[in-house]
Amino acid sequence: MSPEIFNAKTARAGTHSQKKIGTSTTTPQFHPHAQQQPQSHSQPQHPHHHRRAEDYSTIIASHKPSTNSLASFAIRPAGVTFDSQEPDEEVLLFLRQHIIINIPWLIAVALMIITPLILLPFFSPFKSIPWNFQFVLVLSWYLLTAGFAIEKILMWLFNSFIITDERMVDIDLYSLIFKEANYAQIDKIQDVTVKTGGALNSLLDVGDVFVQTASEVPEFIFDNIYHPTKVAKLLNELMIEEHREELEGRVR
Amino acid sequence: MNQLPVSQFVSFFSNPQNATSAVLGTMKILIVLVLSLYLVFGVVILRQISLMTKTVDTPLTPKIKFLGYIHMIFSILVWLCAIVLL
Repeated sequence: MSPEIFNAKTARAGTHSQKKIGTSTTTPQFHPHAQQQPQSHSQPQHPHHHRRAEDYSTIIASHKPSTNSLASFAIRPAGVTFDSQEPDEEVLLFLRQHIIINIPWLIAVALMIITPLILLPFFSPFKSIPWNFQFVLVLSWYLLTAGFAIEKILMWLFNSFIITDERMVDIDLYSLIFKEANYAQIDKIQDVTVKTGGALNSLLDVGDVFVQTASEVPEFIFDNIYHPTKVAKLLNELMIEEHREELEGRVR
Repeated sequence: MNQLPVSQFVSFFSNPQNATSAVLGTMKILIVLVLSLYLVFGVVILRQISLMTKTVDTPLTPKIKFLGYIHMIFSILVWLCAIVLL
């Protein structure tokens, strides 16, 4: 008897009823007649049939679509698209670094805000210059503070990782004048490693995910992300599904 | 008899009023110069926001653009203050 995944009827039934891949499917194995098998059935599967993500991913199935625009871990985020997204490509997971990494610069901004209020009354050289210079200098200081805060906000918002049903995207904004976007197909993933270290990171479930690929970029690093284990699990589920699509001739 | 340029310089700055006005004039030039450079930084921020929102479009895009424009307006206002008040 051929494996379940090579049975088009079973596979199609699984598309509509199956909720958890871990409980109802097996890991696909290579079969020399994989391409011919579905044709022998009375109801052949459509060659471009594409299963919904919740049918093969427990991570996607167990989370509601996110509507929080500031979320660090957003499953099926509403309204998130990227420039090279294909029409039938769905964003499954949108990641940013955990919000806790913003605490150091937020403290720095708070200190920059209160510094003129606390120090300037006691700083005699500043009091000796005319009021108009004092006024412009204080305004300039707050402008600098605003610029610093905006740069940090943009860095946090735009340094993001996107996982779709076909590939993963790593968008890095290193500074305001240098950005980088790397793309890798899910089927190019070779290895996924999760690293979590430190008491605070363990407490908050923050860690790094290292993804080795066979694409032009050999390694993708998702650093300081929320739920790193779930991210790794989702990538594994996507890799299995890509493999199944390839074996069943459902490759888009 | 004409004084040497160095002597003129020293005598000019030996007057407290002249020294103060020279220091403040230099400060004004420096402040306006730095704020002019900051205006360029503000434009770079706007440009970067535009590029990044094209790369990744999220529901936050309008708010981020608004933040960039507010920052740019604040930069222009401070630059104008420096020009007018100093």
